[in-house]
Amino acid sequence: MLDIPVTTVEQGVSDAEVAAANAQPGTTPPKRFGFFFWCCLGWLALIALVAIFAGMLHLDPPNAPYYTPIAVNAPPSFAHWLGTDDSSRDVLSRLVYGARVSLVIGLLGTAIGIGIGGSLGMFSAYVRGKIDAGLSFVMYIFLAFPAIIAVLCILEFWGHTESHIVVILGLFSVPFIYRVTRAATLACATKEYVTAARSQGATARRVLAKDIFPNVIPALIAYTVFTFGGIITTEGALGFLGQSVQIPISSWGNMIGEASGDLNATLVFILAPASALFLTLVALNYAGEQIRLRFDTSEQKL
Amino acid sequence: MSTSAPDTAVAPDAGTERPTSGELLEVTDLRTTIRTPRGPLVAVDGVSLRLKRGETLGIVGESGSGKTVLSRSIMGLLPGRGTMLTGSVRFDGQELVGAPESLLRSIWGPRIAMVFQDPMTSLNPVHRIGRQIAETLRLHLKLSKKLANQSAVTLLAQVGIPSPELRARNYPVELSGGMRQRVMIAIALACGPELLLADEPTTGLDVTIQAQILDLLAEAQRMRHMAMIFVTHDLGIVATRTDQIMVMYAGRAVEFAPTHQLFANVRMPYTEALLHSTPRMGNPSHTRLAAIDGRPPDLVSRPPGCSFAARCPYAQDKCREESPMLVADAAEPDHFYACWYPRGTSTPVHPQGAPSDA
Ligand SMILES: Nc1ncnc2c1ncn2[C@@H]1O[C@H](COP(=O)(O)OP(=O)(O)O)[C@@H](O)[C@H]1O
Ligand code: SF4
Ligand SMILES: [Mg+2]
Repeated sequence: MLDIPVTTVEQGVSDAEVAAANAQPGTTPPKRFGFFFWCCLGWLALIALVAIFAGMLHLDPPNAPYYTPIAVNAPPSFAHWLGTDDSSRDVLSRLVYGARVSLVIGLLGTAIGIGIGGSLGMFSAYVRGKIDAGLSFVMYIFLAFPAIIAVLCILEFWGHTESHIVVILGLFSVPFIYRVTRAATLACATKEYVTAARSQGATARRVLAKDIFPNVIPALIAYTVFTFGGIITTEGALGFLGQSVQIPISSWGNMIGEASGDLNATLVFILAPASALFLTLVALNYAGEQIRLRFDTSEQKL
Repeated sequence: MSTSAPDTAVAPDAGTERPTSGELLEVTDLRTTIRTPRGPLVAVDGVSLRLKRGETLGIVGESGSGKTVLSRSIMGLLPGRGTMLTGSVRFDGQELVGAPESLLRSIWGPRIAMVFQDPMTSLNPVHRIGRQIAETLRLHLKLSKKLANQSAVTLLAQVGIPSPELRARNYPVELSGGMRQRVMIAIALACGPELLLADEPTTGLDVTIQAQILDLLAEAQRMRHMAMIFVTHDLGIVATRTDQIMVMYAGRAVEFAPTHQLFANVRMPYTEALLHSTPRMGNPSHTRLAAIDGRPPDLVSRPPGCSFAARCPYAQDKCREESPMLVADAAEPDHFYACWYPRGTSTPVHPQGAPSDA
């Protein structure tokens, strides 16, 4: 890959070599994130801000019927931007507070998944041997398990509270994160620069912290985003089945479920939570993929 | 050689306090066995060698002959699990085989260092190159961050990198292969090692750059009274830059001699074949090279007899039955070879017969 036109070279590196190095395709800094990526990030930021500051938006209470004037299944109006549902509750308000539920479950669940899965994955790849084999075996069994059915059963016994849902969905994302982190760590541990660092007398802990961990982070960030999307989706599915947080608390999933079970509901009532969920998932997956592509050095070189 | 090295060098220059002559490395019957799914693979099979301070040993052999495993075995830098090392490596009187990792770590860097084959993969992509050099200085010499960074820049200048202050802030991906290999050399030289192992340091590089890197290594070695083991598959590269050459085949030393004696009187047919497959300076650049036909033997189930028998034009029945030992000819006590029917001559080529290192 080095056909550098060097003519007369003294000791030292010729300007030609410097220039060639800078001009080499694939070695230039990776190109910037595109417009659509920033749109996705914008949408996610909007959702997050709205969810965080929901209390300051002067919305109608999401869970109590709006008293006067009583309007059941009202179409969008100035008073109720997205109309009201069959219990005459403000749909916009339920949507905003529903975002809160979805995002909090997604965020905390992901934190559990990354915390446990990430550290187990690195640990496993680092110690190798029997512990690694055992852990991997357990994780693969969990991966093969139809998670949604297991989650449904557990919640049925344990109760459908938000914290239970967070814990369960978080735990079920552990094997996924574990697998990704372990693979990234393993790939990294066999790299020549790890041997080179060892050949300079670095301890295993130092190698793990300074040479391997920074190279695992990009993969971990990307998969954090994917996991976040995955948990929101699962929460949506649970909600749709009426198995997530219980009505009257709203989540996007149970709003869709509620609206689809009610023939008198306005189209807006089903479209609003569905598009919010859809846009959020598209944004998360696209952003995650862009991050993965940008930081995946192995693909960059091809 | 006009590396304009600023004299603010904080990095230690070796050789100030140390002895500059005498035995440095003594490897005896070193054997490396790697566990593979097909069974144990003997990648290095009973290699012995000696090296004095300041001297250069070339290790030459085809790809797969065990050069990398040998150089890493000498250092003790093996992929721990599933690899077994027997024999002895004495470095400055200290036994390294079976030594605790903590002892090895204190030697790796300040006393023995390695330059790796592929500069594209042996630098960490996420750290600036200056930091990668400074890291090792801080670890072993306990330099402050600031001092280590200054030394890193000095080292970059010493290995011939232009505008080192700026380059120190580059990531590996921003440098060409030749420059990365210079950075690797700077890292290896950082703590002033007494022994440098260079494992095919120029193999991936353009010919012109190759020559520059070789000169740089030779210069560094002379300035620092450093011993070097230079591993390559190219006899041409080591011909003018080494004191001794060991030719390796299938994990064994098959010919071992002071460089001038080896080229004056090649004994082992494998060395002869390697020589025929080496580009010569004098030849027109498009002369066809005779590649050696056939492939090295399977190291998991090694056939009896001479390992080279299947490919050797001079092979006879005895070769396929009995394995030749590494012996010296009476006329040339420094010149070892493992062959039943050696080439060349066994009358003294150097009438003075003075062994260069008895
Ligand atoms: N990690 C390993 N696992 C299995 N076999 C290996 C490993 N490393 C090296 N070998 C084998 O050892 C032999 C010597 O390899 P190597 O030292 O890399 O050769 P060279 O450096 O001379 O090209 C080869 O046959 C190779 O297949
Ligand atoms: S021992 Fe026989 S087969 Fe081996 S190199 Fe010598 S002549 Fe060839
Ligand atoms: Mg090699």
